Amino acid sequence: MSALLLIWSASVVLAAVALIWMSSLVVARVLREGGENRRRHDMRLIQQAFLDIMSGSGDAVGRLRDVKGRARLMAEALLEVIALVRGGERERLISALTAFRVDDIFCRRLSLGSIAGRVVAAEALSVFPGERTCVALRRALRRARVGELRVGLMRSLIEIGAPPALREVLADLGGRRASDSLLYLPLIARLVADDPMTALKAFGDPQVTGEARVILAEALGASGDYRMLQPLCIAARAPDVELRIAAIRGLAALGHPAAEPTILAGLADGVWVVRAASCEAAGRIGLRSAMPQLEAQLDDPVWWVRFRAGEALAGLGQEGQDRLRARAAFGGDLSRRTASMVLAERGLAVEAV
Amino acid sequence: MPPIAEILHDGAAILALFVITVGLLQNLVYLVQLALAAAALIETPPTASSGLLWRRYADAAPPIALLAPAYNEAMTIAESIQSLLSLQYPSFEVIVINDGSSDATLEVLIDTFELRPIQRHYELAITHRPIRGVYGAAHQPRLIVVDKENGGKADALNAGINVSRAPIFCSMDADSLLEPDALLRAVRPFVEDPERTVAVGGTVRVANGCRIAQGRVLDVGLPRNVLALLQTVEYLRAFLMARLAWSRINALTIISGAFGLFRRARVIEAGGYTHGTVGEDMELVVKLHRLMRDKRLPYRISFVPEPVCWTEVPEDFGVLGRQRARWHRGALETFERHWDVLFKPRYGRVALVGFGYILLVDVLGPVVELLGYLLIPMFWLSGVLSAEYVLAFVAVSFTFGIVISVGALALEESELRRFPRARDLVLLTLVAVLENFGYRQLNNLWRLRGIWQYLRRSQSWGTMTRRGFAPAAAPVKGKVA
Repeated sequence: MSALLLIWSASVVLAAVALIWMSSLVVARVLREGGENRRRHDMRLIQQAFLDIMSGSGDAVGRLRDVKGRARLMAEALLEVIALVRGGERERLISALTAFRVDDIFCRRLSLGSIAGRVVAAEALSVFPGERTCVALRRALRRARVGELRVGLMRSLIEIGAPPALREVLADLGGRRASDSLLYLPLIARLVADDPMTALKAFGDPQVTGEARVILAEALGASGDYRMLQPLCIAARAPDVELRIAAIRGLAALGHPAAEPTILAGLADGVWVVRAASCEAAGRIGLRSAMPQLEAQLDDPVWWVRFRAGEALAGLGQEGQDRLRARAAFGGDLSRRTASMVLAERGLAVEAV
Repeated sequence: MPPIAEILHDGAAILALFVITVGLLQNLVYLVQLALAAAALIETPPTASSGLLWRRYADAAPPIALLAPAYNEAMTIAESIQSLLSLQYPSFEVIVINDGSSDATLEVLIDTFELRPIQRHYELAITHRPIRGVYGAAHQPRLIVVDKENGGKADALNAGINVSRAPIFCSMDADSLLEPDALLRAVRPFVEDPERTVAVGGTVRVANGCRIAQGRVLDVGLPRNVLALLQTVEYLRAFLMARLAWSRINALTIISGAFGLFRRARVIEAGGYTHGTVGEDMELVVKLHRLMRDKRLPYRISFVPEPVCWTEVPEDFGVLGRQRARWHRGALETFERHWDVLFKPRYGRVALVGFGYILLVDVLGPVVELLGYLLIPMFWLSGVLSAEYVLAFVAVSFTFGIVISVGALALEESELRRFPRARDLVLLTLVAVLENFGYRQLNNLWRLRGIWQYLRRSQSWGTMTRRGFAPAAAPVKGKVA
């Protein structure tokens, strides 16, 4: 075949490809339009049936018979509605759907079809606590590989009161190729709040990764259990900067004044993020003994530390505000500007520099 | 054959070979982009509804500061900001930066939102023209208005970055329309991979022809204006194909100025937006790549394919030509500032793929295409080149262009399907064919004008005429310094 013929042939092939591709797109769209219309119709039917069930119409659930196969659509509609209603209406809807075995439809969907559909089914199952749901979610969790689906399954297990083990969630987090997903934070926080002592054991376990320990530190503080104080104080002096920051944030969330020496030490840390977190913690705990150091931090070379120190002082009552006023009048360049701006921002001073 | 004719013949052959090689390479790149974008779209699960997004991400979503620079936007600013304030996101603030407008932009904002001067402590982390005042709204705690001296969009964004306190900021145009769940969709990479993600771009779509009310796109439609229609296909190709493809291999070198999320601390480290360039959006992304590569830190610059932002595109040749010339000038300026990145191993795929692409498509592309259009017919007329070959090559390049455009449409159709009617798709496929005959060549001329302006070191943005989204709005003229 000559070069010329080859070029022309390529051109003809490309033109044919474009034509076939375009035609297929249009034909597929025309066919799909029918499907889309059916989907919209079914969605309206499901939503109307849900509304009728909630308003007490006993036979409305029977209308769902025609759309029983549309698990994803039903799950999406259910999640939208459930987010909006509480009390008796919500209970009526759930009991009617349970009687209609909608949860079975969702359980089956956990292992069939697209990942997006499985995730929605997993989320919708959180509305149907019970042994069957628990077994189905756990089975799906054992098989699931996609992170988004695993998070959805674990969240539903927590919501139905059958949480996965903390270690399992931490292992999941450690197994990710990406950095620690923030989606795990609310899950871990819930697990730690429910069982702080198990979390504390994991926190001290050398097998647990540094990243997991960082997440646990904040969650331990947020649990409000004062047995976490000492471990967090120790962690706040760890060589790992991220762990120091997380531990100080945990102590701030815990709000116990016994954290004072640790927070004061944190105010002098060499890493500015730790200093800023310590300023914030001093303000949140209400550590009046930290005021001289906070005042000194108004001259810190890093803006965030100055800002957090100013905010903490402003939140420490009259004495803190007086110290800010004194700095605004007689401080050095940095502290004067910080103090006056913090006061002005809170409407505590008329004039600002 | 006499020696001069022989030299001419050889020269023509070499030139023709060069033009053909560059053309083939470009086409090969487009083909790779199409495949990568398709893979990325297949991997991305279909779009969840806003309610589900809220359920999944609201607890984990970090605070965001929306930075909206405004210059002479008195006619549209109130509606645009109202629309921004009603976005669905758990924690965000809107910082409008009035960049020394000469019209009543600030007064409109003051009247509409009952603004009053406030004090706000902010970090002078990056340089910008002086701030004249900061305002807070009486009934909108999320809204902050910064009034500053005129310094251009980059300067305004730098001021906004300084004033913001959220770990992530969203840069946008004050006259763009955001989808109500735009932030929830775009923040996804920051939630799923928080340590590595430094920036996220989102798909910008053409708003002309859509039904719009109160700053929201209610119905997606196609523009009636042919020029806007041609740009609709172009936007699909640029966002759904090129950007999605390069983001998949972490070689994305541009995030549109109309919508982008950035990690504030990294942008400050990179020095913020660069003054004195018209391609500040591209420049910032390249600076982020350099920063992270120089520090040898793992990072991601991602792109979300779902439409998050709608923009009004020019409907007349003059405005469009100026816009395209400016965009091209911006790309060349960025290439010049960072030319040392090209092919340098330490910059990895950015050096080879990202910058190689700029070299091939933006630097060489327009000149080679012009050479192709001018010299090859000349050689053919003078008998140096064979007519059959010229015609065959032209046919291949046109049909290939059509295949690529149809491919971009197929990407949209397979996963997103935002055009509701089948006839829209028919029309767009026709436009995908038509754009190769006239529009593509015109675009090349505008890009050449951009090269000329770049060589003359012009810093003008040119006059942008916008019709405004309201049906009865009169055209608004604005000129950004």
